[in-house]
Amino acid sequence: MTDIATTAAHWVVRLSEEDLPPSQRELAEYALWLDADPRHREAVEALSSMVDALDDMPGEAAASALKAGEAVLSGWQAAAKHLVLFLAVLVPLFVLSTSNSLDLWMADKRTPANAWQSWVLEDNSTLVLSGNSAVNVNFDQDLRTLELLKGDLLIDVGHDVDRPLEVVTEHGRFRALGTRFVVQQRAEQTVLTVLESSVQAHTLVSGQAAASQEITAGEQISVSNQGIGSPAKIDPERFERNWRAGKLVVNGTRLTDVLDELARHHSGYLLYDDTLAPIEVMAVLPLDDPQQALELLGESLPIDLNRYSPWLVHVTVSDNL
Amino acid sequence: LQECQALAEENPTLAPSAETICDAVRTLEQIAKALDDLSANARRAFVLRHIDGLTLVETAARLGVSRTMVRRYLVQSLAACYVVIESESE
Repeated sequence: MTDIATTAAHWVVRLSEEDLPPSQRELAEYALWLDADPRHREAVEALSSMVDALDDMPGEAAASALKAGEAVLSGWQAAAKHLVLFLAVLVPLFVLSTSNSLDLWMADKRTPANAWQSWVLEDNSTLVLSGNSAVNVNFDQDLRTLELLKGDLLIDVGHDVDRPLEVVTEHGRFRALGTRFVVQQRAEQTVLTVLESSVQAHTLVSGQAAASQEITAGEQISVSNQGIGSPAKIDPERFERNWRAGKLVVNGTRLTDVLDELARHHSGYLLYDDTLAPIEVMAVLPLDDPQQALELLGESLPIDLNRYSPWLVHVTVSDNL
Repeated sequence: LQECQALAEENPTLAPSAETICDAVRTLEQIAKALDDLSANARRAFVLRHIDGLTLVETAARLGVSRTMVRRYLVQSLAACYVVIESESE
């Protein structure tokens, strides 16, 4: 086994010396060795493809970071980080080009990862979007529709008796009854929080889960394909203050849910799994600064943050338990 | 890295990215593991040659060792990588 590995490595190294091509005698020797055992060829192919993959990867990473100041590499760790950084930059471009994100790019109003922004619409409604959100504004003669494609919006509805205003998400329709409310779209559900007066919430599914309910100020509900959840009480003023300030307030929430939320605001990738789920979090976290939010979690919880680059953080349960 | 796979499967829209990153991280972790047991010079030779893309001669000059020595370092590191790749794919 080790002999095969060493001999295969020898040939891969020897055959890659551009300035010193192998002699006829060496090539003959190589051919003989290759044919002697199918494992020989496998080993050479495995090593060659690994080397090729490495040679393909670092081009720009090297240009951007490795070569900075002709720095002598501090070791393998540094190189690995730069490689992953390179991937973390390249890969999002790939995702953008292949996923359904075209719709998001085309949205009327959209915000980057951690920028809250507000607009006054033509009907004098005030629209606020949290980071990483997108919305289409469709106003016609009979209806004002805000199609929330992703993320969070707060709407302070301008008065217009002839044209009701509705927010539509993947999970539900929310008709304003003269009001101010927040809609947060997530993968499995949409959360509605009513800050003033009331909102009529409708599910989008037909059949048994179809439902409609009036939600009043100080109430929060979730709408999913399973129907409308039961309302929870919230303090509207505090909720709005925290939401606008980009603060995530959690009280005994599962760490994985908190990371889901942070990941939405993080412009890179967070890797984590369900082994973190039993950990519960009580915290006020800055969503507009996800890196700092992660630091805060790292300081107070038994977790490790493994940074491969600013854009790729792997969260694991701490080994030092 | 099971969590990587789980993540990739749960997020079909993210799948290409998560998968690609996971593959790369896995490869890098394998290589890092393999290189861990080698001498510092063997590691540096590998990084200069395969990450920095230097030629064998340039690598030798950078390390201040002979061409034969660099060859030996590279063979050691590649052989170590192969052993790790093999043992993990079984």
